[in-house]
Amino acid sequence: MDQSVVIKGFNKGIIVVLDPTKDYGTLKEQLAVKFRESAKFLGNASMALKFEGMKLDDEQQREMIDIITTESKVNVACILGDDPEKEAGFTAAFAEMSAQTPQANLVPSGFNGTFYKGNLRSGMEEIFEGNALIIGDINPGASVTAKGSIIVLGSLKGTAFAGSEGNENAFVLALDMAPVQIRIAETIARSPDHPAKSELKEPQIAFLEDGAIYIEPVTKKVLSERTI
Amino acid sequence: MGEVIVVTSGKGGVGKTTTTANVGTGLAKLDKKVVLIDTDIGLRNLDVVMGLENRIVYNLVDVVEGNCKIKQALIKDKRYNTLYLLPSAQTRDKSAVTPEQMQSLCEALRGEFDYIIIDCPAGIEQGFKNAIAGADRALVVTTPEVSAVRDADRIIGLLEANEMKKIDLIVNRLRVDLVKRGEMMSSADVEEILAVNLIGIVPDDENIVVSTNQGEPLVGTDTKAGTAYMNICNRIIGEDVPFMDLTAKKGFFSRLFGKKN
Amino acid sequence: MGWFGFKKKSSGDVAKNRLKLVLSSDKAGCSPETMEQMKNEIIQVISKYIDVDTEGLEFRFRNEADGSNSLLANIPIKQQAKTRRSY
Repeated sequence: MDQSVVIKGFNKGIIVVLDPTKDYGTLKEQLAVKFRESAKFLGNASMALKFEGMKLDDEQQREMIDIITTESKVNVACILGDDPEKEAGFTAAFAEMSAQTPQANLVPSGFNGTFYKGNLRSGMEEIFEGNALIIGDINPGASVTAKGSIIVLGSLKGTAFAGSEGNENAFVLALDMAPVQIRIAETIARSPDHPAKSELKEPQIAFLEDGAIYIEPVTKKVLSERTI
Repeated sequence: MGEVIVVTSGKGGVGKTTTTANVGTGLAKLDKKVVLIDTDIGLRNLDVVMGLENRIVYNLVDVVEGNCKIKQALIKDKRYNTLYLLPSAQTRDKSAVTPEQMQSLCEALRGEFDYIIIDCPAGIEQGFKNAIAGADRALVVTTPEVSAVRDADRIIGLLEANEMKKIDLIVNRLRVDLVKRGEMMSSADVEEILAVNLIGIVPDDENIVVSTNQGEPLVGTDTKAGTAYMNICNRIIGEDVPFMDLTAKKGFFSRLFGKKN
Repeated sequence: MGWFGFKKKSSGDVAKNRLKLVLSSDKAGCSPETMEQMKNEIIQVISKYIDVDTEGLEFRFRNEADGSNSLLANIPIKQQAKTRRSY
């Protein structure tokens, strides 16, 4: 692996470490390679950029940023120097900015969730401290319990227990909603004894309202009424 | 005081759970107060055969661990209001319950119910020991196959060693056509080998599959298996019911083989 | 069972006989061959003193109430043979 350019992450963005022993041309080439490789991973996030290892003049910095933005979808919000005062100012500004972006509303501070990848089969029981995102199916006889909400990217055919400590705002969302039983806080709903056949598979959400559990198709309206 | 009956077999897949569901439902049909207990911890099935899987909140392990009262864990049947199910735990293992706990559970239920019917897991390990601990009598289920009969014999030996007061045999999935051709042991053959009282013969009947699919035991319906199970229930409550003629439709053969079956 | 010499033994009867043998050896804790050998030796000893009907012999193990097993041997005695010898 070529180590002349190294990309590192820090809490507010990325640090690009340049090897001062290498000539500027090689570094530019390597920078392009590194960002092309990491483009997928970095996505189109807005982040701060910081160069380390080598002092760059304004012209060089601009060239470097050009390379980064062509090779990846990263949106460079600003360049950080070694000046701690400037950095503190940036941190505050960045926090304010991210609070305004729509993504930030989906994941408020204090969000506590766990991913689980795989199918949960009969006899398996997973208990989550916060919210749970299951990537896979929950088969009959399996159960998922979470203090928060449960989102299933797959079929929910077993039992889901959201808001296990009494959170009545917790919900259960599944791409294919065919549960044996759903519990939200103190309320239990069970599947009908003679389920209607060939129901259309669509994402549905189960939530608690006025002491009853409702299951509805996922629409913007229903989602807007929910909180995580 | 209720009677505690364990349904057991040794070998798996011979129809213990189906028998438990049908005998329990049949006794409820006869106006008895019945509770079914699934002791197959980790591999519960009685709930789906009864069609009650979506009503489970608490289970056997919750009861013995004191997480809930017995009454909270009992699920009332869909069709008979004198029939209840105590489901097993799916996410635990056999060691979650001890024979002593089963014994005291059975004692506690005796006062409330006429019959306590225990569905035993396959095998002769801890689950079996739990299931028989509080039982007064046993229904040993077997099919007329060498493997099942051999295991049934082992089970009968173990039941006798545990001083089970009454042991009755149910020969399940009998294929009358095969018996006629001599290609299957008859119920009389099985009875002779095992040397215990035969309380019922249940013919192989595709209606069982249908009833299991629907989660509604077929006991008492106008099917061969439904009639056979109802007869077993009547014999359990002490009535003298003649064994049904499984070859009824075929006049000539029934004269020849009717007695055997 | 095997009354009709010309008829092939049905698999139901084969099953029954195999089971009887296997159950006996299960309980005795020895192989079917050993069982057979023991049976023959017992007959040898007894037939030294009495004439036995080897056709109607029955050896089987039975579960006892105390959990143990007992060996049950049913050995019919040939009556005519006895009378003949008294002459």
